[in-house]
Order: sequence, then structure tokens, then C-alpha cells
Amino acid sequence: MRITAAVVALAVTVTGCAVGESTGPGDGYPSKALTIMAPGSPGGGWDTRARGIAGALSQCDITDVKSTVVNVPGAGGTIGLAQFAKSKGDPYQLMVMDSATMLGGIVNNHSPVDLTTLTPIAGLSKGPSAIVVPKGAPYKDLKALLAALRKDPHGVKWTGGSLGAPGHMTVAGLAKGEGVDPKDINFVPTAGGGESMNLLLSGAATAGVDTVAELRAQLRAGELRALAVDGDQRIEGVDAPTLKELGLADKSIATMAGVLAPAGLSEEQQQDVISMIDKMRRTTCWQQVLKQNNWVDAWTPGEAFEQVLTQQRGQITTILGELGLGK
Amino acid sequence: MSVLANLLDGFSHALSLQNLLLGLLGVTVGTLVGVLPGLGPATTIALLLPLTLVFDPIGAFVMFAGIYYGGMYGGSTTAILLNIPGETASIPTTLEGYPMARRGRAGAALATAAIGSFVAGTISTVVITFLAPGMSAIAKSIQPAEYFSIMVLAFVTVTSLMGDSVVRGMSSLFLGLAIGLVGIDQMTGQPRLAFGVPELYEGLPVVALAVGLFAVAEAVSTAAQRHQGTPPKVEVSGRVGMSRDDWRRSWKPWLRGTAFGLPIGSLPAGGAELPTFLSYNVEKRLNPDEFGKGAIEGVAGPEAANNAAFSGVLVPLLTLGIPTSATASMLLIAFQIYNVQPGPQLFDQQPTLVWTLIASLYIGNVMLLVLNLPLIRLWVKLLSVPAALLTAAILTFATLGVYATGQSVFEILVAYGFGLVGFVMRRARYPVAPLILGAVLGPLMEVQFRRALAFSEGDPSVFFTRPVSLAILVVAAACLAGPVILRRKGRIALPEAID
Repeated sequence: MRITAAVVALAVTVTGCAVGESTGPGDGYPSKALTIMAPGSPGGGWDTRARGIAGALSQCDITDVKSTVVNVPGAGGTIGLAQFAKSKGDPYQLMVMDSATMLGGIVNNHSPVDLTTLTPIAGLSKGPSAIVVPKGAPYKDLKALLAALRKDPHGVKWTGGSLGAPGHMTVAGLAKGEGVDPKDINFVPTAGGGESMNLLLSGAATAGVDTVAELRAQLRAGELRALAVDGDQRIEGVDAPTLKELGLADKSIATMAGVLAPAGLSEEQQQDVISMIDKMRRTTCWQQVLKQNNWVDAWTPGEAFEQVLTQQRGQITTILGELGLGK
Repeated sequence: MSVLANLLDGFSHALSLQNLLLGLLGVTVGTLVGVLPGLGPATTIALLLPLTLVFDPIGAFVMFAGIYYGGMYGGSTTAILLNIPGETASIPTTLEGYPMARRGRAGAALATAAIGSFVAGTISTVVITFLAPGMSAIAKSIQPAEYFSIMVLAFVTVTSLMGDSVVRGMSSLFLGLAIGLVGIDQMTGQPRLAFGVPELYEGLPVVALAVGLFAVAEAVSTAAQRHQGTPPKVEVSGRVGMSRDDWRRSWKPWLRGTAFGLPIGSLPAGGAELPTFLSYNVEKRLNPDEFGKGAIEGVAGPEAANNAAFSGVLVPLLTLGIPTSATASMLLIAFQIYNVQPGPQLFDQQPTLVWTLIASLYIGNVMLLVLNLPLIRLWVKLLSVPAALLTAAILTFATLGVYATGQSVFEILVAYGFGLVGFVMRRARYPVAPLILGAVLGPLMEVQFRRALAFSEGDPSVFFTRPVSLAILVVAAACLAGPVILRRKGRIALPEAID
């Protein structure tokens, strides 16, 4: 895939793009080619992110050095992670990931790598999720749905994403809040948004949790109804309260997409990478990527990102344990 | 506006010189990447997405449609000539296509694949043009119970793949089912048959498995026969294209293949694997004699089914916004770049774009035929390469292809491991086709079965109380019991005939 990334970079450079805030190439870091690992296959979410960053770096003139995207898919991203963890002390190796997705993957796949031992660069974006029901469903609001869940945990059939993915954890968190054992929920995992969408539209599933980006078309057409969105801000075009407004903010885990570097970087090196990514995210190129993918900017550099990871690691290990996963 | 007026409007946008050239470029690039190992149509479109910044949406979609069709056809070229299926859906093509090529009939096989793809693609596009909204309403209502019943039907028809020994056939099928179990169970998260190897957690890669069982095993067999005299050289006899007899034998499989591919492909969880295997099984049932030795029906049917299914994929993509294949998700991204959101409102909100896309599918189909029919002569020449060299080339090509798709050495080990398994099975006269069918369809069937039960809260009657599911199961039962009953009648009739 080295050639692939080079071709993309080339195509992007040739086509040109509005130049954002730029300092131009020059002093110190980066002085040689960068490698950005996407621990998933080409075309997936992590790949899109890695290519977006590589594209923005060269296209919007953040740096002259080449950025190459390497795909190492497999086992929920943990195969790539294990490989990445080996390149200790090298600030030219970066990896994109999603906090909750990757932490869940680590637990589910029994990966020995601890995410918090790597060098945190920054959290970049969030993709808000929504809890939805089909249009004919009798549940007026989330309260009604949760009441039904309390009464008959098995009768409420959930769908959305794979086992142990953020959607599953949100459902588990909500169930726990209602005094229902997470092991009793009826969550039917799927490989992706398309499949869970089908289960919702065909009336097989009672409710689903998915990213707003994937649900938007059906929400707009009135085929699905949103009962709540996660995070603390309402989403434009989605007529639903936030979990925070409903007093349920602590029940869901909002995954944060970001960049990591290998362990063993000096503080100075870490700062270099952070400032490069910071410049990158301010470019029009990156803004474009955010818009295309329905991502919301969530800049969380260095320490703060590490705190998110540490905190979510605790939450996720607990929830997945309660769900009986990762054993 | 009526459908026809809309379509004509679409053609008026798509039929410019620039767009026709883009379509031809797309088909050429698509065919190339389909033939070259490891770079499927999805990756190619991903690579070319930045071009959307240069072209207007219509130009880009005409080109992407060309890549889509070209890539599919290119994949069947390697399946027929080199015994290397580039993707799961071309596995059935290798089963008859490669034997045909070894008998000097590669030209006919490639021609029936190209023309069958054209016929199926055209019929499917016409049907989509007029029925897409209705199809999506039906597709939307299909639940896991129905998916499971369709899988049952596919497994019932597998009996035609068993060969001369039921025991050998069943062993092969069950080995395939066991292989399909490897990996982390989607429903419970428990690893099964993975033995703590992280590379196995996502299951055995099916393409590597198929390349091993077909291409590598074939190479090993050829090498093992070294002391039994040189293998007969492939003679390209007679005409390169299809004879009158080939046409007569191909047209019905084309239509049947389309009839399987289009409806199943347009289901949100349909895909192209199921209809291609189903088509192969049915064709084999209908003409059991020549199968395994290179029957043209076995290429014509699955190829048509494959192309029809890929056209069907557009129904959930455009009307529901659900991408059901990797290529479809790339098209979805391309839509989103142009700020177009496929979904229930697309036909109302963006009629020009949708109808132009449909018109560009027609163009892509014609371009495919225009480009590929003359190329067949060129491809057929490949077979005059001496067997020793060709075998070496197949191994190189297979290794490259497997490595390029997953970029992991592990997948190469899988391919070579199963190459040995395939060699042993061949020597012991075990059929390979049931194994691959079990490995591909087994996991799909399992997941639908368990989902259906999860939604019915464990009540198995869901398979019989939903009418569509029941109807499919009845057909499956008839397929299973029918031949037995007919045979019994035949047995009763037999003595009378002797008297």
C-alpha cells in the first residue's frame, strides 16, 4: 500500500487545493518521510483518517516530506497495534485509532499491548452517535424505551456495530442504569452500519445505536426516529435531546479518534509531533475531511488525550467484563 | 416525468464525448486491475477518489461504473486462464472455466463470460430502471429468518457438487463448514478454533483459501506428474469465440444466472457469493454429465449471476443508502464528496444524478463488451506457454495476489497450506467445491440463523411463521425430496419396462 498512498498524495497534489494556514517546511521535525499506520483495511474508517491526515500534510503544505499510509488490518486493529508498539522511540511512525473502538478491540482480542504506554499525540475528532427506533415504534422518548427494557430486558432487541463496540457499550451502560444486568440485554451485533440499518428498517430490531453520519438519510426521510444523541451538544438536523440533557451522560462512551506515536519519545519529540498535527488540523484540507465524513473537531492534545484513554480504559474494561467479553 | 423521460434525460447528460472516453478509460483500468492480482475495484476507486475534485460528478460516476464492470470481468479472466479466483464471487467460475481452458476452449469461456456479463448487466439495469423503488420496499422487509431460508436452499442444492461419492462429498463439505467456524464468534466474542493465534481471530481469508485449493494445488499436481510423461499441450482448436452450440448452451444459464443474481444482490445482506454458487449448483443439476470437465454452462451461469448481483447492489445503495460491497461503499463515499446522500429521498432530490448514473451503467456495459471481445484473442495466446513455465507463472501470480490483498505473510502460508490440502484431496478423489462452499456460505448461514433466533427470543417457529421464509423452505424441501421421489417412481417403473 506504500505505492497507493504515494499515488493518492500525488493525485491530491496535482489537483491542488486551497492553502490553509501554513508555516512551510523548514527547521527540525519532520526532516524525513513519515509513516502513518491505519490498523484496518483500505477504505475503512481508520484508513480514511490516515489518508486524510497524510493528504492534509502534503496538500496544504504543512511539510515537504512524504507521508505514507500503511494498512495492517486484523483482529480489531490489535495486529497493527502490536506491530506499531515495536518501533519504540521513532517519532516518524504514527498511528491513527479510535479510543473506545481500539480499547474494546484490545480487551476482545486479548492483546497484551497497553494503549497508555504509547506516546499520546492528540485526539482529533468525534463522530456523534444516536439512539434510534423505526418510525412505527411505540416509544415516544428514551424514557419509554428504557422503561420497556426494565420490564422485559430480552424483549427489547438492540442492534448497532460489532460486539464490544461503542454502541454495545452504550446499551450496556443504559441497561445498568435501569438496574438490568448487562448480560441480560438482547444485543444483536453486526459487521457494520449497513447491516444494522437493515435490521432496523425491516422491523426485526427494536432499537439501534449508530453514528449520526450513517443514520442521517433515514432520519431525514422519517424512516427512523432519533430518541437521543450522545455527547453534550445537540446535532443539527437531528430532533433529539442529548444524553446529558436526559441525565444519562455517564452511561455512554463517546469514542474519540486520534493519533498515537510509539513509546519512548522525548518530551521535545512529542511536542514536535503535536505541533505538526495541530497545524495540520487547522488547514482547510482537514476541515474538508471532517465535513465529508460527518466528523466533529475534538482537539485534545497530549496529556489530555492520555487522560481520555486512561479513563476510558477503566470504563471499558469494567463494562466489557460485565458483558462477559474478553474472557 | 416518467421513467423513460428521466432515463433519456440521464443519457443526454452521460452521452458526451468526454464521458464516453472516461467510460472507456474506466473499463480499461478496471479490467487491468481485475487481471492484476491484489488490486480490486474497491481499492482502485479509493485510489481514484481524488479525481472527483477535477471532474464533475457525472464524469466521475461514468468512470467509476466502468471500473466496477471492468474489475469484475477482469477477475473472471484470471479465474478461467490461471485458476486464480480474484474474489469470492469468481470461485464458481474457476470450477468449470479452468478445465475449459485446459481443453483449449478458453476463448469460448471468456466469450460466454463477457457476453453473459453484458446480458445480465443490461437486463439488471433495465429492471432497476423501472423497479428500483418497489424492489427496495421488498428488500427492506427481508429479515434474518428469510436470509437463513435462502441459505438453506443453497445448501440443499449443494448435493449436485458431491461428485460420485456422497461420503467424500460430505466430508469435504463439513471440512469447509469447520474452516468457516475459525475466528472470533460474532455473536459472543469467543474465539473458535483459533488456538490463540491472533491472525486467525478474523477467520481464514477465503480468497487465500481458494487460491490455495485451486491454483497452488494445480501447480503441485502438475509438478507431481513430472515422471508420467509431459502433460498434453493445450491445443486452441477451431474458432476462438463461441460456436453455435456454445450459444445454444449459454443463453439459458445467462438468464437463470440473472434471475438469481439480481434479486439476491439487491437484498441489503445479499451479496454476490450466494447467487454465483447457487447458479453453479443449479446448472450442474440441470446438466450433470460434462461438469467438472469444463462445461460452458458452469461459466455462463455464475458470471451472469455475478454481474447481475453487482447491479442489484445499487438498489440498497441508492434507495436505502446501504452499501453491501466494498465497491459500493467507495461509491457511497464518492456520493458524499459531492454532498449527495443516497437514501429514500435520493430519487426525488437528485433525479439528474441518479438517472445519469443509471445511464452510465448502460454505457459501462457496452464499453465492457467493446473492449473485451477483441482482447480474448490476446488472452488465449497465454495458454500456448509451455506447462512448466505456466505453472511457475501461476505460482508467482497467485503468491503476489494473495500477498497484495492482505499484505500479510500469514495469508500466503494459508494459501500454500491449503495448496497441499487441495493436492491430497485431489489425489484421494475428494471434490474441492463443497469445501469452499461450506467455508463461504457456512458462516453467513450461521449468523443469520442466530440473529433470527435472537430476534424471536429463541423461538424457532419464526422460520415457519413468516410466509416468505416458509415458502423458500418448502422449495428447499422439494429440491431435496423431489429427486428421491422421482427415483423411487423410476424404480417401480423399471421392472415393468424390463418385462
